[in-house]
Amino acid sequence: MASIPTAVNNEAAARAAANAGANTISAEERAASSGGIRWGMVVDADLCTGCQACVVACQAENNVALNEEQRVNEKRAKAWIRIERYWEGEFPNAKARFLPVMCQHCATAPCEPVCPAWATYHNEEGLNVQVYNRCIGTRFCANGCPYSVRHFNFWNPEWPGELENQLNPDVTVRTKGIIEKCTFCVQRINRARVDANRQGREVADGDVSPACVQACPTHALVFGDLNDPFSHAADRAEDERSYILLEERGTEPGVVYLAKVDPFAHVEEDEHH
Amino acid sequence: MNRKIRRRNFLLGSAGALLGSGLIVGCAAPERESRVKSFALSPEQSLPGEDLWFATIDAHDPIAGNGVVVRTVDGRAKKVEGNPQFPINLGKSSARAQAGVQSVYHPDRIATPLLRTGDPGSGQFRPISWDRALAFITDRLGADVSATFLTGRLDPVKQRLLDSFRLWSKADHVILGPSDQSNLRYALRQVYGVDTLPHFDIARARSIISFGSDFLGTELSPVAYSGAYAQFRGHGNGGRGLLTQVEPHMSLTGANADRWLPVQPGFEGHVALAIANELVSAGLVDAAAAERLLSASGGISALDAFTPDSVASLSGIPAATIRELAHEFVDAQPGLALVGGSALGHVYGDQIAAAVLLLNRLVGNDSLPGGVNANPESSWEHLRAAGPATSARAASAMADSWSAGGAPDLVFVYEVDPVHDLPAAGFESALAAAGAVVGMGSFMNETLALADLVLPGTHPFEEWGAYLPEPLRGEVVLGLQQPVVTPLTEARSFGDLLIAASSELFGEYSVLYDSQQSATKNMVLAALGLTPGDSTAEAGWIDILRRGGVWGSDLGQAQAFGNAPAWDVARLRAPTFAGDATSYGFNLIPFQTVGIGTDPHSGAQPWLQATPDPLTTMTWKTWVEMNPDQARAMGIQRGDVLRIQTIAGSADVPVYPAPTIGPGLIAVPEGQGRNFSGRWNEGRGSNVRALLPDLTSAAGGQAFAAARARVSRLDQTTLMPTFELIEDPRNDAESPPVKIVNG
Repeated sequence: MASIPTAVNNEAAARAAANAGANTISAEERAASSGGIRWGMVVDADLCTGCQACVVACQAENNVALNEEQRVNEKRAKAWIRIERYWEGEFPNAKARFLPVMCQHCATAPCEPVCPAWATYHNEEGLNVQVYNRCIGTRFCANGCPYSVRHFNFWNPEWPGELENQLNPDVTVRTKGIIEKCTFCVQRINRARVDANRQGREVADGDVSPACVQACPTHALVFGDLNDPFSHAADRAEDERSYILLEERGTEPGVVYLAKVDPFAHVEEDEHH
Repeated sequence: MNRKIRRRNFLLGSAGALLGSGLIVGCAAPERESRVKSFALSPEQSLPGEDLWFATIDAHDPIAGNGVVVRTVDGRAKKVEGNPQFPINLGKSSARAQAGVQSVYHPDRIATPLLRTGDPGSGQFRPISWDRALAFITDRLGADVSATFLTGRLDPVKQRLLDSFRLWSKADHVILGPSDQSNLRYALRQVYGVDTLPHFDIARARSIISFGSDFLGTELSPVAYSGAYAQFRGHGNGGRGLLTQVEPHMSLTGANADRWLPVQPGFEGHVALAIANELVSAGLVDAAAAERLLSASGGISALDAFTPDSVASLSGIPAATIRELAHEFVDAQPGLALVGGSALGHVYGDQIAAAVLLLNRLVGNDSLPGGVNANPESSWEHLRAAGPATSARAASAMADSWSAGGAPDLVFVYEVDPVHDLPAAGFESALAAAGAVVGMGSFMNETLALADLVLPGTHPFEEWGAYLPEPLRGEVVLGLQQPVVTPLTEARSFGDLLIAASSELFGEYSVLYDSQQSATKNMVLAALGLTPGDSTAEAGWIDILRRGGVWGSDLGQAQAFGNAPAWDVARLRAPTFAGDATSYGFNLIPFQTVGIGTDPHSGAQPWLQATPDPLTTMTWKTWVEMNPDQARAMGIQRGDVLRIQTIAGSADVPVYPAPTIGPGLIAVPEGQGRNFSGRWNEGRGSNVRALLPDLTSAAGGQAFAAARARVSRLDQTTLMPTFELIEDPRNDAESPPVKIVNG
């Protein structure tokens, strides 16, 4: 069994993990061997209104290419976070259900062992990392992802005129031929760590807010260290409404969902819609 | 090359000042001259590679006026976040606020003054210098010249500068807006005796009945209301509030409601009064208090005309449900009734609003936590928000009088687009009758395309200002707007233009302030009793800049509601519609989306064009929502193009069958159908407002939901740019993506 060594040895760790079959390492083992942090997110489906603030915030923060109409029609639009809408029932009893979906940063991610170039790996803090300059565009990872959150760049992004001025200098602009996806705003995690180091302390709960979390007007998204029992995220993840997406796939996601509450729902024995 | 520094040039150049840093451009760089700037001379607050955050206002939403902080790197705006200290939005933001930087650097912004060379509306202009543009204006303005300024709702600084200009010029000022709020404000005066929007305490309510109000999406102050909604849901904070939405077409708020009740359009007020009837007849509220509150109606007997049984057949909502709503409303106290959306868009929209607000008074939630609370008014005489927008009726009457020969010599249009937003009012012909039309804005639009001269206006992130958000949350808030970047175009601020024109026309003594920046600083400090230049004032100014404004409960005067409503329930009538039901078999319901809304700035931005409508996931297009069963019966499929005809006009729009709407109704989003607003907006979709007849309520509000329509299928289909996966394999997954639990 491969263990994940220190932070300064990420690449070797990724190769070792990939070679040894990373999908056999449990989340607990990873956390125990990595010094503890497991970044994760809690999504409260009862608070998400579907307002799309997180979607635009993510695009602005992460230099996501413009989704022009043709790209949407081709189903090749890129959205690192999207709000899925599900219909339940028919008029006049129709109910819309909203669910924000982003990379689930799975502990046993199907995308990781299939990459021939080790462009995607699991880091010691629970992040499913995409290394753009290793990616050779096989799209094996996207095919293997059950959550459809990996996006392939079929074209170079274009920022006409002065529009490139809006680009975030902390985030690489991805070029044609590679895969991209939600990073949990890793640049913000790194910045928080640098700031904390300058102040001579550890990164504290609440120091890191991915762009989607920061924008969300209803606090439906909570980010933090799921291994820290005192973190807000870990506390929310313990809610009796918690569940994970596609649990039967065994991916051990780093995103925990809290069920939608419906006082008028006819909930079956095993609570489904 | 003219490098002479004149007072006018100096003042106008000061619009480019960066955060009071002293970076003053003496005169504009000539064409083709590079703007090379040494780092040795870089603005004092800019460090290469270091990011800086500046607090300002999301002025694209001037009514809600949310506080934001903008991240800049090397003098370029990079990211917008909510200002965590700002008491309205408390650090949170919206999709539109997030997209703010994109309009700063939009490649199709108006970059220079433009003189029209083709016919009005041809879009043919040529660049001219600011000197020539100013001369064009000053040659046509003056004390003896009739002029009218058409603007949106200005912030207090611009309003004061315009008022100052008008003292000398005798120009008129007309405030226009896509949503005029006339009906809501009429109802507030009638039921509460106040002019200002109250604080609807959503956070602490336990049951809410919303009659069409899309308070989570597009109504009044959605970011603030969304934060309150999270508290209303109350996880870990007591019981979970119960939200019921009564509306004919499902809004974003309706999609989040615990119970969505589709109602026949225009009968929302009847349902409200039927609930009131049940409250009184079942003894759920104090009879004596109800008698007093209904004194203008002749007492509680006035509600006899609105029994649940009689209203059920009109509204489509069963009598038992109406009774249930009444009991829930008092059982889960405090209960709160809200009104908005298409409920206000009827010929009796003003009366519908009053009927809904009356419910609040009947259950006695005045000035209570979870109820309706009067907001304070600031006591600053010199710092007042501009009044609400002119009613649609008044705007239409004005346009008619202009077309009939009463047009002014000069019309100045600033950041409004009445030709697009109020097509039935006839501004196109009205402006043609004016002596000259000057427009100013960030983007070209249908109205500016008719102007003789178009001026590049600063983006909200490039100028100074002060905002008085509305509605407040119980304390007076003065938001400070400051430039976070210098314009990359030749844009100048409206206030600086007025100052320059006033100085040129009427002399330096006509000018109160020498720039929009100094006006902002002087007005804000004066509001706090401070004198600019004083060391205490200067320290306070820096503090206000850092925080993004000033707020507090001690900054205003408390308002009180009137004792009893002046409103008579007999004024509420059954709705009337334009177009006979035989020839026009559908009711047309326009609605706003969370992406582009009705704001041309938003429509120009590809981020917001591509922001999915939450319910349909549609992007980039105009679409028409139709009941799926009815579509099937008519042989209509998703993507089929329908011709929608009203007595006012017609549009060809693809159909999206959705369970958001009942038979006999169609809903079409607003905001598209522009021809001049940049590459991502031009020629896209249809302007649903062109289908609306010139109908208003007695209070003057536009009856935008009072048109009947005829629908026919054309032999065309189109791709629907949605984010849906029709064949999503997850639909077959063992565990459903959205789990539901009983609350």
